Amino acid sequence: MTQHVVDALSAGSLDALLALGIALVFGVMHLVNFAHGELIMVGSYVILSFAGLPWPITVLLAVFSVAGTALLMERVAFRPVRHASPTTMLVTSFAVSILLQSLAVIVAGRRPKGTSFGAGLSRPVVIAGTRVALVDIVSIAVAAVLVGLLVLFLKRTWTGVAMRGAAEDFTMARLLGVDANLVIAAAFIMSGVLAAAAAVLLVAQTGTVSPTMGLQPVLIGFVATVIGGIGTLAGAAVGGFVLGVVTVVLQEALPLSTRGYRDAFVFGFVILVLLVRPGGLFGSRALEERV
Amino acid sequence: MLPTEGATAVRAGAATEGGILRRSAATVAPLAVGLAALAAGSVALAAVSSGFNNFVLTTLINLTIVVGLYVFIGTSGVLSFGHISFMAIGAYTAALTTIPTGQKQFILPNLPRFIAHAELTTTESLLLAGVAAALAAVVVGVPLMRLNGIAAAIATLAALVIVNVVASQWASLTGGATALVGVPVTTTAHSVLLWACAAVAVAWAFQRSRVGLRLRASREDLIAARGAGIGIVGERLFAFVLSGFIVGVAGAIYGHYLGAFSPDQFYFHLTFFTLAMLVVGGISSLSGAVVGTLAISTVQEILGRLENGEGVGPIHLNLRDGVTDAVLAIIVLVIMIVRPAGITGGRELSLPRPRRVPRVIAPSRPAASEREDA
Repeated sequence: MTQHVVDALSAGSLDALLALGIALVFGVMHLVNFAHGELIMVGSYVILSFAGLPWPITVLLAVFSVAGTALLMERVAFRPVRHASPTTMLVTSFAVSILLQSLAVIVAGRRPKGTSFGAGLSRPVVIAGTRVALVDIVSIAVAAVLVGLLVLFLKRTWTGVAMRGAAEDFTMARLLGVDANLVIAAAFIMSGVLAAAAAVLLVAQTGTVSPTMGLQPVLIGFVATVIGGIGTLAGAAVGGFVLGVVTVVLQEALPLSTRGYRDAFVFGFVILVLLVRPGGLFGSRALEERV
Repeated sequence: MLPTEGATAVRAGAATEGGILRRSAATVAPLAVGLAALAAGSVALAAVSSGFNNFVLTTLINLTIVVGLYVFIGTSGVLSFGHISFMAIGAYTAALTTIPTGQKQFILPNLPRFIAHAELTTTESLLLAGVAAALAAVVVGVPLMRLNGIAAAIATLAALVIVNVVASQWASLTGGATALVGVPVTTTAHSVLLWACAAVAVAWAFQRSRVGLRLRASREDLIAARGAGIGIVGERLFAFVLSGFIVGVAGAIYGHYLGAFSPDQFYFHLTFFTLAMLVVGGISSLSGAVVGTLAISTVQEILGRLENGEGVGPIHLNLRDGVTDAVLAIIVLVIMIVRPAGITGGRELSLPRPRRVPRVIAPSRPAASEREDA
């Protein structure tokens, strides 16, 4: 039982990090960022390249390079289409995603690469009489610390308050003197930091890096954001945990022959949530049509 | 998105009670000229060499897909990431009904009897593929057509993932994640040309039909259209099923072109490039769909050849793997930034007229003028 709880919490923590990264950008810009997965991919390649250094330096390098990439994509690709239609923004983020993927193919090749980074985390530890993988405990701790820092930032700093205001009503926030560029840049930097953290955990869990590795995490992130409520940060975090629990429960509950279909059930659940509550379980008012 | 289009659509709808039959020659002329040019160009190019023949084939298949996408996305303004799953359904339907029986027993021994013994001709299999995809579109569309904007995009994305997962896992039916082989390679440039022209003609007729006009009005202003008594859900479902049919047929054509394929060939990569063709050309006009497909397919072909080391005319560069996709993604980005409404700006191409028409410049934010018009 402890094993399942740790599994669910660990999966939920990672999913929550992914969902928060996507929700932060969505909140201030109403952009569904497909390229968030490629931020994770970039972080993973940085980890792969500097795996030989002491791990805190490797992690710091990953954080800075991913935050930098996020900032760069905002400046180059997303700022010019900020006022365009949702379709244009979606296709733009799709294009950024494909561009980063193909750059990775050009630089590092199509084939997945292995790394021993974080191999030490795979050893089991005994908690309350059950053996659990250390990496699961680390995932939960990292997510808890990052979510705590994020909450502090959003509640206690001026930029954080401005971001929350902008997510609620961008025009009003600007009228009150909030700098749009600053708020959006801050959202991208933080989503980059979360992506880097996700990259560290993913690489430590799987040990492999590939150009298309961002797809699965970004889909999970979308799903979690949508379940929780597009446009609310707390909703995204809760949605991440709900998704983690649903995934682990399905993994255990499905008979072996249908276990391969797990993701089909997860995505079916998403469609169901959208049909019953198009704004998500904890949907914000910001997205409702106003006449 | 052109602001005046919706209002024009509504007015045109009121003026043409007789439906699509009573068209004056003037309105059919651009379609006829366009199709004739497409046909002449394709036949001429395909005759040059087998390389060009291949290029014509892939471009026409792309055209059929993108026109199919346009029928739903372009006319309704609702983004769908799920259409490539209709291609998968079409391709697998056609494959399972045309692979010779003996071979099928060997590759997929556990097929249900009626599939195991089916051996259709190519045309039959294409039509059946369209019907299967259209049925899938009904199943997906009935619940999903109520959704708008991002909810619709994510729900259709979920549908794409579900179909991919099922196709990869249901090994006794599809052969699983590995390639299904032995599909008769029967697609020729001339046969695709016919299907592509038919798709363009159907899309053209649809967007001028009563349902099409209502849908385009709802694309321009959902609330105003509702206020004018348009139900929207029914119109969207009709377009979704029609576009599902076209994309399903395109999938079958693609399957008969490849001869062997796996579920992952109908996933995000193809979704991105077909959507890119539609959006680069101009999402809200049929001309945009055609122009975008021709432009992106041509660039793709040139870069692909350079990447394979085949060379284009006198130019020989050995581009690295991945350069084609990178350049195409940059082109899409630049178009999105410089011309968010696409190359055609959402207008239909028309034949040159002697009278000078004042040019309407699309404002960056259509909302205001749109409201005035409606």
